[in-house]
Amino acid sequence: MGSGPADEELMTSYGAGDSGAFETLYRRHRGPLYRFLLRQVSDAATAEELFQDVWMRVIDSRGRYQPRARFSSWVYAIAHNRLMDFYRANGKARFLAPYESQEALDALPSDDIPAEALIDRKRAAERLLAALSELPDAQREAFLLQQEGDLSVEEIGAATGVGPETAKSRLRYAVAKLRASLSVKS
Amino acid sequence: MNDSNGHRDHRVSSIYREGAWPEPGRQIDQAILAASRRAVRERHPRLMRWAPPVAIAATVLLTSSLVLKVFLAQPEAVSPSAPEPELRARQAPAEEEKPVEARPPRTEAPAQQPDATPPGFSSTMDAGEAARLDRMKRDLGAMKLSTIPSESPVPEPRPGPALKKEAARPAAAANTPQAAAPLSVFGATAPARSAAAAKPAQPLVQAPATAPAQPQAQEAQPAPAPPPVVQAAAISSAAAKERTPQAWIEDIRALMKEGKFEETGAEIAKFKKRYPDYVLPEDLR
Repeated sequence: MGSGPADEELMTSYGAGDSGAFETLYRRHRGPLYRFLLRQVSDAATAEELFQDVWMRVIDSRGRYQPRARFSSWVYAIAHNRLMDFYRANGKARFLAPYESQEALDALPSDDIPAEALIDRKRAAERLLAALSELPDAQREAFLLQQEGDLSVEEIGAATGVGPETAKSRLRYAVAKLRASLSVKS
Repeated sequence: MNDSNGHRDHRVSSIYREGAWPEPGRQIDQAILAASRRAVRERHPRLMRWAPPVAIAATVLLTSSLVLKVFLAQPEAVSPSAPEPELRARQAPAEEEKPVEARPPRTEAPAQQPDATPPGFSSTMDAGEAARLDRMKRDLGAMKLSTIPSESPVPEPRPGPALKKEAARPAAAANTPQAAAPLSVFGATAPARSAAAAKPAQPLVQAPATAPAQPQAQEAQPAPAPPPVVQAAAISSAAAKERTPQAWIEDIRALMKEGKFEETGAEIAKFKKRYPDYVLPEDLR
């Protein structure tokens, strides 16, 4: 994630009392983590509230932190759990991804992205974000964990509490649908 | 298009990154960073919060343990105003436990040889004690006028804890009431310093090794006695201080007649302690 000490070192230093290490860590992850939350709740105030909660949990856990896995994998797991709490508290039991058959996946447009989408990238991005918000929560989360958290399939599975195959499947559906959204002529 | 896993579409990713990049507000940043710094700062104050109460508790514990230790070592020094009966009760067992051999090998007149002075005794002297001291002074004066009668029986060693009461009684019974009378004021465990304060004791017979013999002592004992005899005499003189139970009871009665009921009670208590099997007369029960 760039030069300088690894995230895990910074978190360990913060646990030992180095508040500067936390600041560096925070600067690295603030944007991606915020967007990961904002893209899922679609409300800036709620996203900020969840964002603060996640970082407060990181702060509170500084003494217990063990660098067994990547820091980003750990912090996005916290964010996922906080998001689940939010969904439950708000009666949004829609997170469980609906079963989507291979046929449905095959019915999606091909991998090719229209040339006009590549030319007008700004407009294409808007269409992609709109399509992202329409994705089932689990698929959207898997895509965002990959794009914002830079997590691997295994890490996505670990952070969301599912196996790698499930995480892989969710990613495939998400990418296929987003690509299809770019192919749709406006 | 896709990465090695076949799940990362770089074109989709690049288009995604063309979109807006919202970030948290500065206030959120400041709040989180302040919380992180506060959490680090609060670690030590949390420990320091316990420092004053722990220090106070440690001080109190140390002080109380020291006071207790000093009190146990020298109870009279800590509480000089302890009541006399209490002091006597404390002194009595201590004196009874003293082995006879531990006493200094000196021979003195029975009436003038008090035991070791318990610490702090004079500070607890009250009016009754002063009256008894006056009596003691008078008696001692009378005793000094005459030397020990030659036919007076050799006082037996004072019965210590190992000695039986039966062994002490015949010796005490052999004492004349006149000889026992001055001592009876103080009882068997009379504090020595009271007698010493009343009048400095003049040793009638003293061991040559301890101090130069007084002229009076030389009169009483023309030739220096060999050490075994002196030691025996010392033991005998100690025993001579023992009151007979009858003499003691008479003294208690005298105290009662004088209206000193507190002292009477204390004397009866001491008597019972000294002679637990002795049946007290009806009027003293």
